[in-house]
Formats: sequence, structure tokens, C-alpha cells
Amino acid sequence: MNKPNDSTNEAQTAPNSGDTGQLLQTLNDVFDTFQKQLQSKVPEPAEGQAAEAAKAFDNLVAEMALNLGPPLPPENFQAINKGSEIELSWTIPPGFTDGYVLSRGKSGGGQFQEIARLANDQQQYVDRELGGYSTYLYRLHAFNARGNSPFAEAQAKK
Amino acid sequence: MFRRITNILGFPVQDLVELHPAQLTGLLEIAWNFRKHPPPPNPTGHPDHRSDVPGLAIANLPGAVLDPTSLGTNAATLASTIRFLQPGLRWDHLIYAYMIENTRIFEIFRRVVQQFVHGDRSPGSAGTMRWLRNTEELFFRDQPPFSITTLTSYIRPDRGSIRRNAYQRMFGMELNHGKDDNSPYPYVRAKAANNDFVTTFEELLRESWVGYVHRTTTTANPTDDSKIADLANSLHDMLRERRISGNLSREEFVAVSTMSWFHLTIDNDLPLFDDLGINESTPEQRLFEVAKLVGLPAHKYSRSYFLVAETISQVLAGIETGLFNTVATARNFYDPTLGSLADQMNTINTYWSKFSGRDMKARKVASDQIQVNNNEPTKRPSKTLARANGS
Repeated sequence: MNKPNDSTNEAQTAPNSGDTGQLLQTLNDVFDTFQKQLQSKVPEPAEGQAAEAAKAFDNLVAEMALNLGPPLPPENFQAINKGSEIELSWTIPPGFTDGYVLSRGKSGGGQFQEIARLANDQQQYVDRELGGYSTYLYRLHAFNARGNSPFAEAQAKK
Repeated sequence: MFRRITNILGFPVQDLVELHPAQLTGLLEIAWNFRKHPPPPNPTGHPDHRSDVPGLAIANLPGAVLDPTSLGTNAATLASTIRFLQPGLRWDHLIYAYMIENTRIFEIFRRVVQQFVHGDRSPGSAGTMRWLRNTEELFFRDQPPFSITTLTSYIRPDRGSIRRNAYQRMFGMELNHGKDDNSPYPYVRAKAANNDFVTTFEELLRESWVGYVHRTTTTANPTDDSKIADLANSLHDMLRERRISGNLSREEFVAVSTMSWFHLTIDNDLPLFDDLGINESTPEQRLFEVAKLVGLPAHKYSRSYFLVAETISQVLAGIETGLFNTVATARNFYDPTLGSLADQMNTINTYWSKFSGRDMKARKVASDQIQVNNNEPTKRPSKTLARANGS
């Protein structure tokens, strides 16, 4: 695509070339801006909106549906080393959850042990009862009257 | 609501229907108090924020009521589980009650109760006695004062009229039956009613079907996404208009709970049916048999009403939430790859066509053609979804 100054180089050397050059530079800047805007235009959001609406609707149906199953696992489960303690956080999954069960294990084998039962609105837990230096593994699952969710897993090194 | 309670909690139906009526009323109160009710921005009346009207401030039910050891149930667990449900309870849309009531189930069971309490029939089992007591106390007398389930007053003394008024306001529709003698059921008709609901909803069903049939067509596709979005938007606006400030939420809650009780009853093999000598296994067959016993016919398409009630309730709740108001989301109505809505629309299409007698999958007839043929000015489709069987 030709830009405005591609065919006007001659004009820049003509009398009053200073004014003309400035004008052309401005036009060129405007043209570049337009081009950048066109290139950066976000694609038609139709598919995104439709998918979002579908997810929201399925969630609504799950809340209204009669055949409630076990809950979904907690989302965004993370373990962060805070020195002498490990901070765990997660977000509440959609649907009906009555609470969470948190278990801890260590790398290198051994069994997971339940360390806390948490209310359904809780999204954080600080584990202060750590032993020596090790990589700690955590499992968190949600439960309701119909059963347990799959585990969400996270780990942190101390 | 009762169906939801038993299913959510995995609570045996037999145990639920035999609780004390105070417990059942208390459970409804708790369900209302723990309705889905997140903080703003959703305006009151929105499906996620149905009402700001408080229920009774009962942290729990009275201890004595909670421990009916003779019933062998643990109502306390039931109540506390409801309290901790996240993200809060939703109840069905008013259309659920309308669909179930169209089977004539309420009037049929009124006659059952009538025959039992007047001595024309004797309940053979203790379970039936308890069901009978609950049904009479919960649905055929005034509710206790200050309960969220109490709607009747000197102003509106009849529960049936209250429901019919709600259906008329929300959907512009009458039930398909009147009184037992088929005379019109008297109730106050509101001036402000969604009289265009049926035509708009049927248009949406038709357009969605066109979209479904042509969902993979690449050339000359007659699907009109703009029209679908416009119809969904119109439905959204008219339904929400009736909900301003949480209007009709209590009426909806009570109507849905009432019909849910009878739906739960007919859906389960309770001792009641043994006592009535009924051995059928499907809800509609049971209803037909009970109807024969009491001499009041059920609707011949009761099966369709039972099957579609919850689906249409979910779809209208989704529309009312405003999820599908844009052209970008129109495809959800007919494309099964975009979630469950398309399949639900097809289900509704099938059953609505059956009980309304108007084929939602047929080609449209131009409205001017209808006028010419009928020689009448702008005749609207019947607002009633077909007549009761035998009426």
C-alpha cells in the first residue's frame, strides 16, 4: 500500500518545503496511527461472548437442576512459601459446595494427612505447622451432600 | 422447591413428605432466607436477586420441632445443609408452576384430600396420614402469620386466584382449566400484563428451530440472528418489567413450592398410591389413575407438561438473566456446540407444539394471511395452552 509520502518526495524539496514537509509528516503520522489501529483491532468478539453466555447458562442450570452431583474442584489452587509458613489460596468453584478438606504430604512419598476442614466460603489457609525443609505437597477437595470433588493440587518448597 | 430440597440433599422423599408441617414451612422459610442473593449490581427482581423482602429471622427451627425422633429423620441436618449451600438457593421460574398446574394436579389432589377427610376413603397407612395432614395444612388452609408462604389476606383470600393472577401478569396466559364444573375461575386480571409473551416466545421457538435446521448451512441461510436476539431481548424486558423491585417473587416462590409438592408426590412411589390401589409407575399414569378415582380428568398431555416444566423454567431464567440479548449470543439458541441451550430449546419446541396444538417446527404463515383468511382484525393465538382433556 502506498503511503502519502511515497509519491511526494519531490514536493519536499520544492519551495516552502519546510511547511509542506511538516504537513506531510503529520499526514504520515495520522496514516500510521490508522494503520496501527486497524492492525490492533480486536477480532469480532462473537465467539467469546457466545462461549461466556453458554458457560454462565450451564452454571445457572446446574444451580437450578435437580440432579445435583458432587462439587467441582476448587479453582486456582496455589501454595506460596512465606518463610516459616506456607500460604494456600484458591477460588470457589461454581455450583454447590458445602466445604473443603485440605491435606498435606511431602515429596519423596508418604501419605497425605488431613490438616483442615474449611467452610465453603473460605478461600485461604496458612499452614504454620511445618516440619523441616522439604517440598510440601497439598491436596484440596470440595465436598457436598452428594460427594467429593476431584483433588486440586499445589506444592511449595520450604 | 420440595423436589429441589430432596434432590440437593439426597434426602429420602418418603421422609420429607412425612415431616411435621411446621418443619416443612420452616424449611421453606430457610430456603427463602438463603436464596441466591449476591450483593449489587443486580437490581432487585433479577434472577440472581429476586427479592429484598426478609423471611422470618429464624437462625434455625425450634429444637423441639427439629428432633422428631419418631419420624426417624434429622431435620436439623436438613436445615443446616440448606443454610450452607453455596451460592444460595434458586427456585424455579413461575413457568414451572404454570406448566405443572396445567396438568390439573392441584385440583385432582384437592379431591383426594377431600375424600380422605370427609370419610369417603380411608388412609390405610401411617405414611398416608402424615402426607394427608401436611397436604391439607400446607396448601388448603391459610398459612401461619408472618411466614414468607403467607399470601392470602382479606384483600386476596384465595390461593388459586393469586396464582392465576401471577400467571396472567407474567405470561398473559390462563390455565387450561377453570373450576371443576368448567366454569371460569374468578380472579382479578391485572391491566399491566405481558400479553405478548406467547407470541414472542413462540416466535423465538420458531426462529431457533430454523437456526437449528440450518446450523451447518453455508449458503442462503435463512437464520436471522438479529431477530433471535431481538426476541430474546423483548422477552427479557417484559419478564423483568413485571419483576421491578422484586414484584411477584413471593408469589412465584409459593406457587413453585406448591406445585413442587404435588409433582414430588406424583413422581414417587409413596404409600399413598398403595392406599389408593394404584400401581402405575410413571407420574402421568399415576395422575390419570388418581384422576379417574376422584372423577376429575387430568390433561391428556400431562406427560408433556411434566417433562418440559423444568427445562422451560431454566431457559426463561437464562433469558431473564440477560445472557442472550445480543446478536453474538443468538447462536446459542440453536447451535448445540455452544452449550445446552439449543437442546433445551428443541425439547421445549417438541412439547410446546404438542400441548399448544401449534407446530413450532412448521413454516411460518404470514400474519396478513391469517387476517385475510379469518376476516378478523389482528387475531392473536389463543393465550391458553390447549383445553383440558374432557372439558
